[in-house]
Amino acid sequence: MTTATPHERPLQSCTDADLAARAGRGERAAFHELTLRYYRPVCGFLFKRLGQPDLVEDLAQETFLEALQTLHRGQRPAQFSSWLFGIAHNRCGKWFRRKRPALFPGTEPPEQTAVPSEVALREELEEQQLLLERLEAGLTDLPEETRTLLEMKHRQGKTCEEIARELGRPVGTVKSQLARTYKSLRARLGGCGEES
Amino acid sequence: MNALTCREVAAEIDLDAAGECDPALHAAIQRHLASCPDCARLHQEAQQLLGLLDLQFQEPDRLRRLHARLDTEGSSRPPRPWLLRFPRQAAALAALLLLMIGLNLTGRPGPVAVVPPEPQPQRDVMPAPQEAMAMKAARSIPEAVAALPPGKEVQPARGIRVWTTRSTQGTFFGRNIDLAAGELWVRLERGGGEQPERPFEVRTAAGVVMAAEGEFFVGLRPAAKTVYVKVSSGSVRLSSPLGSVEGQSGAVLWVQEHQPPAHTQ
Repeated sequence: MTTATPHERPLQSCTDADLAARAGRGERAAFHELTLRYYRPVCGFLFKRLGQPDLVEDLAQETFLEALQTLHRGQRPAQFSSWLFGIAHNRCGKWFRRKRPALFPGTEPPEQTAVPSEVALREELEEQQLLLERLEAGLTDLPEETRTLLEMKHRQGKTCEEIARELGRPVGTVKSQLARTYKSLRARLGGCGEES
Repeated sequence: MNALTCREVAAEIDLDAAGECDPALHAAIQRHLASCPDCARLHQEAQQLLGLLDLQFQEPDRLRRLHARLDTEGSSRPPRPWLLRFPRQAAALAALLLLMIGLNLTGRPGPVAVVPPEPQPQRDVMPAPQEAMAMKAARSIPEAVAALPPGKEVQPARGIRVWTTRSTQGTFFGRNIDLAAGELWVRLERGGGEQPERPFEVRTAAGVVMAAEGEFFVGLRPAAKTVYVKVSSGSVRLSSPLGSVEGQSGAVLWVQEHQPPAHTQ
């Protein structure tokens, strides 16, 4: 009986290190698998720092692009996840440094740009994953009708008025249903993800 | 509106964070938050939840755009050994030298017109490739005032090409666009449009984006009343009643309602 090499194993069962090595050799699907594993935690990590959801997508794209290009140059990170979060952290630092001259007075102290330790980044990854797991569990428990409301609001970007018009329901009903849902989801997340 | 109690604020805090309260109630909540740290913390938690919900529900679209960008910009092969690369570079250099010598000898341009390659559309802001439909949409010139079709490529005038995403909402206003929500990618060719001397405009509630040529991305977040522009090439101006900023290739411009526009360059 022969043991399958990382090249032959299905991507889903590969370790991050195997996938990073295969991505570095130009295997596109291997890097896509890494994006599926880490896209959401990286976005959560960026969102926590930036607080602006519309910037998160841009910086997440730049983070993964830089990671892929670095892998192509032959670098092999010892721990892919914390290395990736390090890139994301640097991207945030660059964003703040670029933004400050236009938005902040020169008397403000500069943003912290030193990359946190690998342990701190791993802890943050775990915290993000826990937060996202709780949110996912909260969403799974919601009735289909409520999930549809959230989908219209957060995926399609519709206002409560537009949702009410589309569903033929009073705006007040849509608003109170959303408010109740937000409140219950907030309780599910409770305390997780707060600044230490 | 009278001052609100913590209980009243707590009842409205999630909808306020989602931009769903009317202006008077929103202002009253903001006044309360300024003097109540507990409610301010709740508001922060509400904003965090909304951001996470955006990420959760938009993840499939965002991943598709990420993969499209990785496939176009990150698809370079691992570096080859220098010796293997050299013959190709030498051949290109030799061809260039021959062309230059030929031009000098004849004293007039060579017979081959050098056409710059057509820049590829930035797929990171485009929806999933539906090439046939997009090309079909690109050929049809919209009416003077018509709704922007989501997830399509359209040509409001000659030399102006616009890509919309699934979340794009707005209308054409002549050759210009009134953007109500979502994103656009715009490519303006030099001298394009029926009136090339007039800049092309994307109008929004928070500000107006103007450019004569180049490529740029415009994103509008109606809840936050923020317009965000990323310039890929050319020069783009973003104006609001409180001022105006201009940015070139690589710049990011943004404006939020009641604040002057800002930029990164």
